Amino acid sequence: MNDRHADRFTVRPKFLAWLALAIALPILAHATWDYVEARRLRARVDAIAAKGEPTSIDQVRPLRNLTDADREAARLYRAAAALASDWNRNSYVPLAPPRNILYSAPQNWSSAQREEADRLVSSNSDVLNLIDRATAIEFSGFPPGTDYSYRFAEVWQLEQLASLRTRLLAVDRRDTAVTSVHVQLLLLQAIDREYPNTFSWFMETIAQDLALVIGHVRPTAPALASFSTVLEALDRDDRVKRTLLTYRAETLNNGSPSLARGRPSRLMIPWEAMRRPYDLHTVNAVADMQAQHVAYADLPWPQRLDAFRDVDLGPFGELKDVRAMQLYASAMAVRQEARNAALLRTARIAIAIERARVSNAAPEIPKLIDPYSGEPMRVKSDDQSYTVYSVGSNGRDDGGHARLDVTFRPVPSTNP
Amino acid sequence: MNDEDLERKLRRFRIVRPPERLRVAVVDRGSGPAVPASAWMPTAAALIAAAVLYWLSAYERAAVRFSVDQTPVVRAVNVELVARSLGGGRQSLLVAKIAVLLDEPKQETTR
Repeated sequence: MNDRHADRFTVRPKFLAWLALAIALPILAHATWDYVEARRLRARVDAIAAKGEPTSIDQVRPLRNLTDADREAARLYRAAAALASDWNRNSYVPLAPPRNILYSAPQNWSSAQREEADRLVSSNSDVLNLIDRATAIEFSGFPPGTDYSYRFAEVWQLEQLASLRTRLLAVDRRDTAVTSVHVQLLLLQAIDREYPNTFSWFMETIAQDLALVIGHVRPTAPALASFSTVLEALDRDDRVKRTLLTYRAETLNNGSPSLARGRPSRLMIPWEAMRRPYDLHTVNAVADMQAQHVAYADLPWPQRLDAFRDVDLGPFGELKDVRAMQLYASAMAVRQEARNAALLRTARIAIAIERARVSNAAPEIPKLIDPYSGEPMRVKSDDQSYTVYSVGSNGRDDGGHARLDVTFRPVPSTNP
Repeated sequence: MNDEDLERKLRRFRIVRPPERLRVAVVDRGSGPAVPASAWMPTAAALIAAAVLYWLSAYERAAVRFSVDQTPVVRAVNVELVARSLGGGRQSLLVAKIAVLLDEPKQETTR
């Protein structure tokens, strides 16, 4: 018995030494990985900053001193939004009749829809008045400092209301429809400065309303000139790059819990410390991918679009990988921007044609490139009107088909 | 029974010396299979290296955080500005800190 005790006593220290080493080695591996990923991230952030690109959401939307005009416009937008917050209670079920007025052509409205549109516009005249006053002010943005602001959603609601007014006035062939659609364009400009990635939400409606107004009301030369100025300012080639730079700044800000702002104490959350190298690795991988996307955004159309052609934008299904989601977001931004550019350019060409018609001169059509094909935009005339169009996402000329191509067709009035 | 008899009887029960193997294990450990201090060196080195790497990683992350989150920098500038406009001093600094924190825009993910 004494011998057995003696054996156990002499073996234990050696076993403990090996056990301690077996525990220490994974810790060393974890620390090495943690350091390597943190070092890579710092090098990446330094390289981004050296290029003058934003590494922080604060740089995308910097804290700045608002002008008196900004404050006044923001105040009016807020007041309009507060008054309008309940204007379209059923907007969450937009296809439910008879309130689907926003999603159907006003020429095809039933009498019930027309009645509803009249009621909504007249009961919100104060709101529309505030919108008119706000858009008349040179506005550079809402008070900054938030990553996402509900104010944007409110402005979107205001745009819908302004769109409804434009449609009503246009089908009645009232000249004030021109002013109303101009207000919509100015709202779009305000949004473009703040949230370029949401530009497409507005652009689609505004292009339709503009076509309706041009076809029904026939704006004067000064009105067309002002449309042209706003559309030309909006037809910026850097919108998609700004969007992608914002996405990357968001990744760097919030991609890893160990980097996210507002964390009280990282040491208090052991699980986060444990998974930190993997988090940092993911941030590095996503930032690498986004750097590639930013480089794609510098390519001309349609190569910019081709770079994302193979990305599947179908439903996610079970795929919840951060990289896949960011790839989806970038591809979606580029495709939406292609459509925005196509809509803006078709509208610009249509306005150039209208200006020539009003002044009885030969049209000087601006040489604008179709983002989907890289070729000039196309124009097709018929007995009733004309269609300016881009070949659309299928890259095929479908002769100005309303759905297969991206079209701008001044809607002729059926009434004499 | 005299002392000698007593001593003779007690000697029958007295342990003169422990068994040799036990004695070696207890008294003379140096000559047995015990682990030398150097066996702990790799573990110690690994732990020290890990601690240094964690420290370096924290340094790198702090540098990154400084670049990607400039809220503390902006806040410090604002606090100084407000404190100066309040006349300076400890009390002004205290009030300025509270005023700046209250004035900061908050996250507005919900209404």
